[in-house]
Amino acid sequence: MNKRRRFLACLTTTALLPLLPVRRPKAAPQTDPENAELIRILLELLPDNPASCRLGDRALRHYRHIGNAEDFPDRLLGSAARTAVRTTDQMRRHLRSLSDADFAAGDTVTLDGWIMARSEAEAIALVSLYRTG
Amino acid sequence: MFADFRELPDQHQVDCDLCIIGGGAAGISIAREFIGTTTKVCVVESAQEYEDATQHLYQGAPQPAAKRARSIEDGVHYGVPAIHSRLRYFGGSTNHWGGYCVPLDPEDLEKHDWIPDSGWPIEWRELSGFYPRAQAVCEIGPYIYDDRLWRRTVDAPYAFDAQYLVNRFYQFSPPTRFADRYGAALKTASNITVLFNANVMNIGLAANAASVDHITLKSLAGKSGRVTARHFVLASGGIENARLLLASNDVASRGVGNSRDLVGRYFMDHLYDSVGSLLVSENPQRLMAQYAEITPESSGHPLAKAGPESDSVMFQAALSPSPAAKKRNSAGAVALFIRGDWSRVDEGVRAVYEAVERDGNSASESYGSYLLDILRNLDTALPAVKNLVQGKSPPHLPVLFAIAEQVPNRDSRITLAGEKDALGMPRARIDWRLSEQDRRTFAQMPDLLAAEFGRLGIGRVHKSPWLDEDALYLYRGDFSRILEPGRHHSGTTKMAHDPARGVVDADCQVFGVSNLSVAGSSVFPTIGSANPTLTIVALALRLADHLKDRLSR
Repeated sequence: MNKRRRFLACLTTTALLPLLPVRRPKAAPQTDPENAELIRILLELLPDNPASCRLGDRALRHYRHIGNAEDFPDRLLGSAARTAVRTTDQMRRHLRSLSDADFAAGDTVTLDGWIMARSEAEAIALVSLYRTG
Repeated sequence: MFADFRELPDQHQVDCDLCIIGGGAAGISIAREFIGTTTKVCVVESAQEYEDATQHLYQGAPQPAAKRARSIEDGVHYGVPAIHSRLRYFGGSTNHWGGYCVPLDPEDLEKHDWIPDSGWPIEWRELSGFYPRAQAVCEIGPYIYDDRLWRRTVDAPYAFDAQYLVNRFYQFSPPTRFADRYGAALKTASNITVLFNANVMNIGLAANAASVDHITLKSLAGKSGRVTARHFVLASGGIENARLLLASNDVASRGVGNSRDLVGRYFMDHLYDSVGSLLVSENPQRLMAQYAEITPESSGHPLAKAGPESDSVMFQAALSPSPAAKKRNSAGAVALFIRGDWSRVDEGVRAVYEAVERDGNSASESYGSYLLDILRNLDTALPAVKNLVQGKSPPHLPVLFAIAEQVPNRDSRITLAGEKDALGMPRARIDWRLSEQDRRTFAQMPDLLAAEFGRLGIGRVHKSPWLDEDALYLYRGDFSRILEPGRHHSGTTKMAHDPARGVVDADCQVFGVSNLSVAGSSVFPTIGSANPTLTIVALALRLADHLKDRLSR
């Protein structure tokens, strides 16, 4: 390759660089230390089977699509959970109370045809976020 | 008595007080009311028993190519050709009805801002008083359609929030085949003649078009005749009533009662389809006890009869959106049946039950109102949902099956086609049109059910893919292509206060024609979600009372 060709190739690459997709390395998301234990309990509670993982991925895509994937941990694992949840059973009851309130308010999300309480969808999305990075 | 038109002389004329065109649920119910009176009644019926040639007089005209995928006349209904969606012989469609009996709801008769052309011209009390008598005609139990029917059969009914869901109860007729059950009484009545093998060709108006002078009859063999009467009742079904009025255009050029171009319009049918499936997280036996078909044992239940259990009247509960929910959703009425083979519970569900029980938890507290239990089931549930989409019914996923109201639509109509039947009558062309509001009527149900099933820990709802707005393109916006019609042809001679809004008045008399009434579901201004036979009979009894009074003057 002569100098002129090498120069043109370099110029083209530089010009296109901002347009190329950037592939970020897979890494666990930043976790508020206060949430870490709650997320560990949540991961323990929710099963790691293909169907629920698939649904969790859909939920995560849904929340990323509407742009608030980073917000819902606070609602799910906010101050109420921090004081009340130490075990999987307590997490189960915590989720139940949230989903009861969602269903009572008609606050539902449809994923793959399944109509779920918003907190349920958020929970499986959160699990997906922490399982897949 | 029974008479055969074919055996009468050609050009024979029958003279009577009351001529009833059609011997189905409405016609037979009215005729029975006159047994033993001084009123001379003639019931005109095409055939005494089923005959192919007579049935094919019902064959509709082909649909335009653009709308041929699914239609009332050319489609397939429950695996049989659509021509059999109504039956043209003595007893009419009661010869194949399923026996579902349920009254309309009071609010079905009201005018609703969100449903165009809604509102009956009669008050609820003017109809409801006839239901108890109609119950007896349909051979069902007392007029009870509320949770008193669960007494002694359901211990702890689910408490759905009445702002969202309400229970709807059905009683099941044996089903009564009206000709078999009531034919003998009509045959032996000295003042009643049932004239078989006589097809009505024309409703002959007097020269001033203000009354009917006679009707013209014809047999398939070509014999002609006529019936004169003081009063005529047209009771030949939702399609045929309109066809006969439109085809009788020798005096009134647009047809009888059609000066406002309303005959045949507002054609409605119930819409049948699944709105989803239910992944049960509760003990399914509890749901089954509440929503399955129940034949009460003879122990003080209102529908129990003395003798063998099978003599009791079977009943079933369904779920409907509350009036408030329909208003919020700007939608029509729906009855939702939970169907499934309950003896074969999903393996995944069973595993969850067993695991919960092993852990020593009480079922009522722990069953899968929790997301955990639901997700554990999805591995087995998802393939089952795929089967459902492909038209197979997975026995372990109860199907949420809906009967939905079609709202009135002026452009959904019966017209006359150029083609003629074997007797030379123009065939009916049925242009069945649904609206976005009808889709919304279905679409409200999965969300209502999901919220209440979720709140009460019953399970989770999977919405049928066809209700997804993104799927609209699959049926090009016309979802009549994918739905099953209920074969409850209605609305084509609707009842109204004002001739500008309907074909018959509140007494079911054709506006402007003093001695012609219409009976049957063609007079329904709206259809609710109720199967129509009980209301057809109730309105027929109401008309019979009115005519008795009128003909005795």
